[in-house]
Amino acid sequence: MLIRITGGRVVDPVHGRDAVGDVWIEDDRVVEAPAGREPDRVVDASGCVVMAGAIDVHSHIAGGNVILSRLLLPELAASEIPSPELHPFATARGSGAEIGASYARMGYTTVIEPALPPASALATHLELADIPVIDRGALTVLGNDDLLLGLLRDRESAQAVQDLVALSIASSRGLGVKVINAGGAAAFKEGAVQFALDDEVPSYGLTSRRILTALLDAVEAIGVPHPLHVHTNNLGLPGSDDSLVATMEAAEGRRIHFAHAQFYAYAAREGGGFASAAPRICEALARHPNATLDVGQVVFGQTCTISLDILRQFVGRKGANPKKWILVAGDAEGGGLVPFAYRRRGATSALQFAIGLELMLLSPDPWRVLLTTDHPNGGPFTAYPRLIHLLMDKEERDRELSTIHPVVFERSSLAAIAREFSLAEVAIMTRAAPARLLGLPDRGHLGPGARADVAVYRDGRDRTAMFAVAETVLKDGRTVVEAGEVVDARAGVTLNLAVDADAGMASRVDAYMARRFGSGLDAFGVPREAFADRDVFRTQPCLT
Amino acid sequence: MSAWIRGQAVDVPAAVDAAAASLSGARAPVIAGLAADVDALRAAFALGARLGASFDPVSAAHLYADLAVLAGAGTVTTTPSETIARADLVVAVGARAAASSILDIVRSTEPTIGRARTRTVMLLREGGGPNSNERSFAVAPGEVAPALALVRALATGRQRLDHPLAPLAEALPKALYGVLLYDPGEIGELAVEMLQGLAAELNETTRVFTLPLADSWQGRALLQVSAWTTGTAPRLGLGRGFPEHDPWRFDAGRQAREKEIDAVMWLASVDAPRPDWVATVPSVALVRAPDGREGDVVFAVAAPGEDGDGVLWDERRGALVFRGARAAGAIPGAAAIVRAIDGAVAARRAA
Repeated sequence: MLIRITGGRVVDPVHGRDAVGDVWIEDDRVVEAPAGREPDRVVDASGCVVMAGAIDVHSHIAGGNVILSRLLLPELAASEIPSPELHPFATARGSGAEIGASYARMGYTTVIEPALPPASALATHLELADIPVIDRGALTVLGNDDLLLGLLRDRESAQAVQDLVALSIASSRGLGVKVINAGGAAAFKEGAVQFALDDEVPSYGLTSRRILTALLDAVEAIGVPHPLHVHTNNLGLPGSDDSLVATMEAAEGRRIHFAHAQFYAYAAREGGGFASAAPRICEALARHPNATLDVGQVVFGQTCTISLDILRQFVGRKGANPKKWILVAGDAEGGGLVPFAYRRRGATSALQFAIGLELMLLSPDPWRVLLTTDHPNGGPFTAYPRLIHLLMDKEERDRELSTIHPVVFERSSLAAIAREFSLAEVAIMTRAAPARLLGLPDRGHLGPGARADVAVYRDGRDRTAMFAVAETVLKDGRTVVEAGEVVDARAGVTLNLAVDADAGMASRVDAYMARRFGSGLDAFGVPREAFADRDVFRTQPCLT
Repeated sequence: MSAWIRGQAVDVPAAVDAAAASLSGARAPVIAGLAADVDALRAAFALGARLGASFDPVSAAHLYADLAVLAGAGTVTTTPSETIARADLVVAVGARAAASSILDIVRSTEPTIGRARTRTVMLLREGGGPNSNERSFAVAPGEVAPALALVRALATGRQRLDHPLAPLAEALPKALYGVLLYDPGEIGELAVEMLQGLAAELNETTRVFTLPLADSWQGRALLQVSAWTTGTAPRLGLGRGFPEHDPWRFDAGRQAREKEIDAVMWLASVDAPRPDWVATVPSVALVRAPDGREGDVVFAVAAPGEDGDGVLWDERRGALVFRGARAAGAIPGAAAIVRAIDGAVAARRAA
């Protein structure tokens, strides 16, 4: 099948394109304009903007804690819209089918679940596989498990740590590695309610810094394309900007990605409370070209915060709204779920909202500051169109600011920022940069050889409307959204990293698992047979 | 022999057609039992969406004792492995917890991770004498929830009484990593709520968690598949084209008594007790090792992890685990049969 998308404004910053032109697709790939051939299908994109499919690097769309959030707040699942026969459960709020359909309608074609605990990897992958239309991936979580902490406590070699990390990625089928408050969950289980970069996990005598740097080294040595994905200590506390900047320094030039940085951009004020630390974070980012971040933008409304950072979630439980919460002391981290309502007229919520936008607008480099809401922690991913609108339109931003708590004028610089994002910058932030960051060279752009994931948006000044519902979306060259409706509920694939696991380490871990869990390494695997006749996984290579 | 219609052996396609006729002709079909592996459950939800069926699992009572508390107030839990590795105090609440295989492991091991070095086991249950080396607290029948309320009041300092339960209440705040082990189906919602509140409060000063035992019928697997497929827990109905969660309305036993349902598909590739009401409505049964009399239309299906592959909840791991067939057999898996019925229903609807 040869397809020509014609007449649209093609925005592809990777190839310097920002003009009306054609995009040609043959089967599942973008191709050069073929000489002397007629297309089998023409997509008229006149009056539209054509971009690569968007990519979300950090969105909690699957896993045990996402399951628990549905059960904790069943009222959020209420929906009385029947699903189309083509796509059962597509209107069932919070279902995998709805997640896939909602992303696809916005032109998103790849989404990364950032929390893949090795102990429950199979369940997470089974759930991911039931999210239709889009491609998925997940990040293996390490940094609080007894196996790794034991190796570090016993001062085993860097090679042993590397072998364990590689084995964990391979057996859990991760696309990268994430660390969540390194050592914090282990310390919480021993009574701690505070834990900073140089605090020790009591029973191991290890600082958070030591765990973090060991993982930074291992990820580099293995050649994981995505940098270590870091949820640092002290999330959400006044002064947490110190934690983020200290962690950035601790990386000592190694590649590092900071998750939901907005939740750390809180400068402590004398007398209590916090002010925006976005300028400081952006200044630090400018000095550390090895670092990237995603924002974790706050969106006003009810949500349920979900995190494997059980220490911080436990401390945050008293802010639960409604007053109920879940804590799971898991095999490594576990999970904390705290419902929260971000209030437009609430000073804290309003300031969080402003800080997220500041981070993006003050960013020294759109390639290194990515749009996320840390769904659902800052708010739902369905807010992306509105957020893009606010980034692109100063007047709209001012209107928004006039409706929220005035503390934002006092404690953030947002109102003074005149910058408006261009479409090219939006394409970088939501397509090209996430693809580069994840090490997925086949997406995020529209050059020949790219995967034919394409979003066509009706151009208009109302960017919220424009980006909320794509005119047409192609996934692997197949039309999955037409006139804003999902027309093909195809199954996407789950991307995972091809990592060689050391046989000696596998044998050692097998024995450990048998002792600790009553069953060996096989019981922690994600075998293809578990998916019956479905072809779910696509492997990505490591860096060489 | 792997399929029957009204007790007569037939080939599988004939039974599939009969099952599709029964289910697609019903105004209010129900899919019940739901004691099966993950893929069979996925197939059941797809069929249910096409039929507009409701869902009621055999594990409902067990699940709801926890779910009601979870949605109402929240929970504080840990895992079997963390209990075994870290706990210095384990309190088994109820007879089933006291007799559980996890408690057997707890009794035979010492903590290996964290602060604790030794372990104490205590039992709180109706009747029952003390075990050697264990402190056993007996309560009158039906008094577990009030006893837990008293323990909570004593442990958190709201009450100061010289009471036989005082030693238990005094031990809990002193635990470094305490675990309250219980079977929700046995002790019920009120006691679960009291246990969860107790654990939540004790975490103000130390670490105490609960560990609910799973049911025997894959209810934990079903809960996950239901939540990610429909956004909600079973019991639920799909008759209006979208999921509606309602534990009373979609109680199939009640529905059968009130004659609200007119067909049932009983899915139990894992052994599960079949309630009497199933025999009161036209039924399609998918069960392991049937004799053909389990329903109007009966299919023999492979048991996951035995003569078929499947992903099942593993109580010791506290996770979903793939179980390959120990011996490959010719009996089809439940997922294949459900999908065949779904295909036949679709064909009937299209005709």
